[in-house]
Amino acid sequence: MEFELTSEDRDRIIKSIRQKYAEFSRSPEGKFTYPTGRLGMEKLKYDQTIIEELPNDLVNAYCGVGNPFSIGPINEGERVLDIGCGAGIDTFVAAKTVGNRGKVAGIDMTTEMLSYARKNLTKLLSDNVSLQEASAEALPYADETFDVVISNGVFNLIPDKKKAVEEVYRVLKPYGKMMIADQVLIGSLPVNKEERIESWFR
Amino acid sequence: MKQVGFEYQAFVGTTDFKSSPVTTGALFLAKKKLFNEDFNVAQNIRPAAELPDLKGNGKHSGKPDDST
Repeated sequence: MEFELTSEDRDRIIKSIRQKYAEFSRSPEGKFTYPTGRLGMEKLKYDQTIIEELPNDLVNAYCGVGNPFSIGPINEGERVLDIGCGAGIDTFVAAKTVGNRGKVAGIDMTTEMLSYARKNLTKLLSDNVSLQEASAEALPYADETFDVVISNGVFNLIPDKKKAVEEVYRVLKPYGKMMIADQVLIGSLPVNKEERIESWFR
Repeated sequence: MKQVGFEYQAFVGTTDFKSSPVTTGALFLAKKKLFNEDFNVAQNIRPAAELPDLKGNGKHSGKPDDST
């Protein structure tokens, strides 16, 4: 059964997500039920060379649920958007892949995670990378800006997924690609709306 | 309509449920209503109920659910 989210519902959901990831940025251990950090990256088969290149604090903050780079190619010189970039690891990987001729933008709605990314990636990131606070439901980019949009464990959290996907479509160039990794439902959603909102993020 | 590609990697979460609308369902919507299906570099999407138990990591393939 579907129901409409009120603006108050949305605010509660977004607040809970921000709180969770703010806590995660301060203390990553044990916040998720699936492997995170170095173990998560290795199980998801991220390039070991890249894992070794990243500061330990940053690797420890990895909490993706998949590996968008294993889904399809990203080419040198392309423009990539990372939605829900968090600590910036996938943004960094994308930047290494597109090289100096490409550009990568990372957005996240959690101030603390972006600060974490900037703090740990400043020395590693080149001028072709930007990180900013923004919502997937209102992407701050012109139409047809990007060749590729990636996202890792984020879309399941977005209140208005239809709007977010429409925004992805808007900012993709013709023949661009959306490549995302995310969790899917294996059971039933709670029937009660309040329970559903309360459990939006665990 | 602009043609774009769509690729998706499914991860079966260890939680019993997610309270947000089914991610796969939303992506069905994207694939069917926003993107030109003739340009299909992506693997097709199956409803969540049909996904194999991929605890950890995995891709999947199948036909879209026309009822979405």
